[in-house]
Amino acid sequence: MLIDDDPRAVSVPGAQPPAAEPELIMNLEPDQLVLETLHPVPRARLSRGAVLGLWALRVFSIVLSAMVIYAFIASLH
Amino acid sequence: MSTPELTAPPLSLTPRLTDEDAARSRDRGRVHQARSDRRRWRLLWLLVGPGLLAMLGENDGPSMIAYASDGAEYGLGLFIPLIPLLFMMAYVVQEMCMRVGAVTHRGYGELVLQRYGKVWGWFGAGDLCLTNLITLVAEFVAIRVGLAYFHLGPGIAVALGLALVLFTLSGGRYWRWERTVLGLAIFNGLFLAAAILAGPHLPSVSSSLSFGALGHSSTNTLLLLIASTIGATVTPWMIFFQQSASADKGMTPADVSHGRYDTALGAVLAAIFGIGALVAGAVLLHHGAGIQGFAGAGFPAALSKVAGGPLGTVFALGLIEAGAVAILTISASTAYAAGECIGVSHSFNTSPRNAAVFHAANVGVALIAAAVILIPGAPLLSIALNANVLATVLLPVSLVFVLALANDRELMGAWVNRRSTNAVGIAVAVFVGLCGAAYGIDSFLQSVHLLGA
Repeated sequence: MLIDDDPRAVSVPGAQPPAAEPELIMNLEPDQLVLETLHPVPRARLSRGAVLGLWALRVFSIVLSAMVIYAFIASLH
Repeated sequence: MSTPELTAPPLSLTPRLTDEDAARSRDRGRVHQARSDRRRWRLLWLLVGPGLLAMLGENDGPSMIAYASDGAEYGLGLFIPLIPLLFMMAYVVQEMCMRVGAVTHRGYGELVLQRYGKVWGWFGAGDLCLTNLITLVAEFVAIRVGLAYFHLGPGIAVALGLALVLFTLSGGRYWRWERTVLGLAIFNGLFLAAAILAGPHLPSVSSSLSFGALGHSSTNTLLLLIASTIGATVTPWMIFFQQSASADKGMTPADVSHGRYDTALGAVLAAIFGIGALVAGAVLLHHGAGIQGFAGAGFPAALSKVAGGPLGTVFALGLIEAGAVAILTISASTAYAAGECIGVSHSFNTSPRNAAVFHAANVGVALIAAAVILIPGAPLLSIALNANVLATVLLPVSLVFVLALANDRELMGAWVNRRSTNAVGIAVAVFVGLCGAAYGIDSFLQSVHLLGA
């Protein structure tokens, strides 16, 4: 079990009794534990082109959504 | 000599297990046992779930109404080939989500937020909440339409939907939630029963396979049909749901092949049941009855009138089931997204006390949607018919991030996409984007009178 002064202990709700742990832990992959998933994965390094592409896609979807919502509201009248 | 995975670390060094870990570990223990005993069917039974629920959950109220309306207005011509094609597209997308969830043990919202930053994570979650809320309203409308056939009012529809959400959450385990919803989802087969009851005789089917009825439609109507049919098969909530549910279920890379069976089975069943609704609706085309007035009990009632009471009853029950299952899966996807983006516990294996945001979002989004259908004079029918279109318009962004995650070698290692998967995935994203754009632009130009209807 976690050492008491481990700062991560505070963010793990509903801990199990220590006696149950070794048996239960064998069924899970190490990176499957809640404690492990609390660590974020590193940020992806995107090229300038990829960032521009993502923003273009975002603007495209927002403009298109606005058009569809406007057309929907207009059709109600 | 013992293998590394069977050697328990010393007690003092083992990490602390949460209730969530313990519940997942017990589920995984059964999977390991079935695998070591070589009990293939038992293993399949244990591992199916997220794929079936994503696919059958998407055969929801508005989708089944859309399929039946398509059949009633245009016959089977375009849709008999289109529905299986779209579910093949859905399989490609959902298989990637399942694989990313099984390999990384993290949900879609969580990975996008951590890997690409908060802006993209919150944009995705925002899109999801908007489309989910509108779709949930449409699900309550579908239940209301089904219940109206039995002379029951909207209050019952609201109570039924909310009671189901609370009941399925009360199990306190992902496994119980999944099996309860799967038990309900099996009744999506009512639409196949409806098709059989409709008794489509071969000459009628062969004549309705022609594209003649489509020839009288405007470009905008055709684009609406295609966009709403795409929205009836692949949507942002399915992406969030299947990846998060695969992680919550505890799937690992060793389970990917079973995850593929699960997803493929879901796609096949969903396509068959969707075509069932289409064929049932086509009865109205053959009788020239039309679909006027189905905002109330009109659709099941119209079917009952032309093909007998049992068909109307089965169709009405199917609509109630389709709406109910979708309320559960769509609320769950909203809850996963909320928990993942806020960075708090997000699992059915965690108690409401320890995952307050997750459980509150699950109930809250259903509660808001339920409240909308009680507003007098709300344009519920229009909302139901347009829910799928908005999902289609917002889908390309989600598809691009699914492709990016599934190709991320740092996250996926040897489980990255093959070239063939990428080719199909990119084609799907482009096709969906073009269809959504064509409909959106055409509708907008018509509404500002720059284009004739």
